[in-house]
Amino acid sequence: MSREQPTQYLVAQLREALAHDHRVAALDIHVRIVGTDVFLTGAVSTPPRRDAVEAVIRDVAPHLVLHNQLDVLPAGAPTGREEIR
Amino acid sequence: MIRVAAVGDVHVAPDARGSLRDAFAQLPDVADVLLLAGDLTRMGTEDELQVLIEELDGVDVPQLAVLGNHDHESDRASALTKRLEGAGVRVLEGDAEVVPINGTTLGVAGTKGFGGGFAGACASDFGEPEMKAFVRHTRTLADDLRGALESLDTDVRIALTHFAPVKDTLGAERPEIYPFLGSYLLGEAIDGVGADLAIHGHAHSGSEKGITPGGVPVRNVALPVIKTAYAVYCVG
Repeated sequence: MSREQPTQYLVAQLREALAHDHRVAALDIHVRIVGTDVFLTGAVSTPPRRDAVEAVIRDVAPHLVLHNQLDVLPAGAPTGREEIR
Repeated sequence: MIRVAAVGDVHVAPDARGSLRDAFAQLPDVADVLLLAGDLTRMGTEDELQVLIEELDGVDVPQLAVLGNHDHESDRASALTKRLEGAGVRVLEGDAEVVPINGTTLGVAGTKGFGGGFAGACASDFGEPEMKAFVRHTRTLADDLRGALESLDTDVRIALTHFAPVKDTLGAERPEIYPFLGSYLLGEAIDGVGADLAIHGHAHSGSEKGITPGGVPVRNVALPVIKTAYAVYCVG
């Protein structure tokens, strides 16, 4: 008799895939599954890496409706500085 | 006053080529030294590291670094260190470097560091060999950091790590993963000798500012935390 996989195990599998897939190699992407939808939050360095995260999730769990809410980090020069006292 | 630029967790790869170059080019105008707090790459490959080296090409400030856990992923840490040093970036692991700056001296002691957690909720050197090895690795690196700090007789002294020496700067990280984000042993080493500033990365969901139990200011400079190519701290 097959049993439906508890959601939390699938979340763990998706996070492992994001860590080990060379396109992403990220340990800090937040993955949440609600019903048939998967929500991705957090931040990545570049727009291509944001797309790569999406590709990895689709490879592992093509049946889920994906909501890619990842931010792309700014990497400009700072506008100020702090004096350590 | 020494102006210290610092950033960690830049996680460069070919898709990030050019993303930091403009900001790094401004460094000579705003900082006297650049500290890189580990996780320079995504998978720890030389191809990825080359992107960072190109971003730093021509940036005329002293550059010092520690490696992070991502830089170890492909078991090429020694090769990465050699490549960085060849490009003029001094890589610290249990040792220290003195940088003369405008008539003063900056000493930076560095190590990657490792995990284990924080006092009251941490791993112990007890039980299975794997558990002992985990804790002993952290203890060894913390001892090395202490020795490196003790070797410095400089006007300003900074401890540079990838893993966090305190939990103050872990911010919104989930407490369940604190033991994988840092260790009190690093903080204990820093407090045991004293420093003007401790800089780390690794905790992407952390917060920037903290302090050790002994009163040393701590700054988490992970790029996802500071949200700029580097932060600048004036010390001394």
